[in-house]
Amino acid sequence: MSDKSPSSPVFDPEQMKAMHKMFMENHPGFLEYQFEVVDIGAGKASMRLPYNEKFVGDKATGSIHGGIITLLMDTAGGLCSMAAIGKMTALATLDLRMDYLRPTTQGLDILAEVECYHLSNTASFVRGIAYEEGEQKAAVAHMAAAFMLNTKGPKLMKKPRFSDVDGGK
Amino acid sequence: MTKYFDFLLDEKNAKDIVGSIPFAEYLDIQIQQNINGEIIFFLPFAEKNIGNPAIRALHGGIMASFAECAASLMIIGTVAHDHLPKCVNQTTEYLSSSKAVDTFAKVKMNRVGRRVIHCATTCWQEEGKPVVISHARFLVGDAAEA
Repeated sequence: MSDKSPSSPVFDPEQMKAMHKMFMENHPGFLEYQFEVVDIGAGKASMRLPYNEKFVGDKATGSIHGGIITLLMDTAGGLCSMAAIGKMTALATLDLRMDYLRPTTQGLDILAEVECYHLSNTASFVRGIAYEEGEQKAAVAHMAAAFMLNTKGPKLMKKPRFSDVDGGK
Repeated sequence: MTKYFDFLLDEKNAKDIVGSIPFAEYLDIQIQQNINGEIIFFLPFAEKNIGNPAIRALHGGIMASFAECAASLMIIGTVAHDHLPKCVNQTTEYLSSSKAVDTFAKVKMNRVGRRVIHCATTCWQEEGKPVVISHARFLVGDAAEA
């Protein structure tokens, strides 16, 4: 894949577990939309959205609305960026593109598989595919997004300042 | 265009239009008119829309969903009364973090073709500063059914 894909040394299983727990317990989205974290790896994340009639976009076919898939992909993208950094950090979506490949089938769960293909000091670039989990794993949407890292928010990650480094001079 | 706006602003029609997309109903999107007589869409604040509990910002995905729903509703209300437009793709730019307050959206249809409609949706919050800009392409008519 990419030459600058996030390497595994930053991957810390303990952190990942904590991140998983934090997401599952504290995030309003996870409680409300019943998102499930399936897997978190180095620069990778997958999440599942169980089928729910509230999220239907087309009553005639019962297919899920694109918006909720965007929501799932955005959340998975954020989680995957954190997994790439190896730590929990505050981040913000800069831009997100969704391509809806086909309408989803009624009653099928959606699985989002997202990877971070480039990481810089200030931004992460992610892409992913949403599948429906039927007899065949068919792709329903594609996502590409950029996230800004270390945005405003509580200090989840301690950043050394110059004054700390050179003894406060 | 006034004719269409009257259709959209009729309370019953507006309710039917929003009701045609269960997800839009779930988000509790409402259709309103601003002082210039333009159609605007309203997303009331709800706790479930919070994406970042630490700084109490709305979820980016919710903003994208709102923009997409607003564009769909605008299309249903103006040109495609009898069927749902099909979203091909959407790009969303997040200009600043969305606060935990009500959000409004305005849809501009840049091109209305027989098969494709290009929409630009701007979402803003209390001070009128845009927070999200979204561009989406929709298939309508025969193209939406194929």
